[in-house]
Amino acid sequence: MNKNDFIRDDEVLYRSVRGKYGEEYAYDNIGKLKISSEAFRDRDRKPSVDRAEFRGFNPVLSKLRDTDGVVSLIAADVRAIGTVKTKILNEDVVIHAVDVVYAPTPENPAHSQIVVNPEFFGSKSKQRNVFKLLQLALAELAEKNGWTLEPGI
Amino acid sequence: MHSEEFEVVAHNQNQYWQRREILDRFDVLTQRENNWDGYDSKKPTESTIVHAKHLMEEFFDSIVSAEYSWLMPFISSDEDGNVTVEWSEEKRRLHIQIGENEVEYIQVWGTNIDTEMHVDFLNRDDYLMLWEWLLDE
Repeated sequence: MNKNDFIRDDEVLYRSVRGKYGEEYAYDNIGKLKISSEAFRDRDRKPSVDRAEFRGFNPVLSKLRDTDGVVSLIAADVRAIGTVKTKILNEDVVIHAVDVVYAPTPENPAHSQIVVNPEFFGSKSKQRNVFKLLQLALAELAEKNGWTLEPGI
Repeated sequence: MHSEEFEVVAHNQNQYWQRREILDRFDVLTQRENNWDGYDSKKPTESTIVHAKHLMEEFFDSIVSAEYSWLMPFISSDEDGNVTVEWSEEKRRLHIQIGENEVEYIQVWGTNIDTEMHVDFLNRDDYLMLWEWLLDE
């Protein structure tokens, strides 16, 4: 394993947020940013993020669409979300630790994923609910940090 | 027009536009196709949208009937096609997840999943309790 394969706690992670107002972001009546948990939607329940340093700290490169905005997370904050628990009837509770791992692709050498270890299991609805808690925690973190790049810029 | 009558008219107009905005956001959901977000998410089914729209009208009516101010939520759909409704306030977040047959809510008051979130099924009797919790009243 290359030392660059491990994401350090102090690393900044970028996530693209859809630029359509009211869908994944909005402002309250005093102009404070609100980010929806749907900004961290992912069919495989492993939300994608980019390692900022592998994007040359240029958030424009992490936008999925021209109109998107970009928010930042710190790897240590993601890992500090805590643990996610699942339980199958009559079996012990399984604790999933939240982590962020490097998962480069040919198209995106900065690509990483927010994962739980061990992976989610059980019924689809159970997995969805546990993943939703993770999405909500990520939205809270993103909202606190504010925009790294506002939509439409 | 007397000032009291004017206030009543303005109040009713405000509620009309808030209701209109909720319905507009549902219209966006009806236009979604599979993979609408580029993350392979399913589009919400028509019956899920009908269920969610009915629930939201009921929720809205409960809140304004009790003379609380309405806050416009995020209205979207998740990777499995459930409709999601979410409010994010200063220290609290309320998320409602609406499927074809069941509805659940999640209260969030921090980022720790173990100690700062609560999940339960949603019943009509919960609406005002959840709103008061969200507004910290």
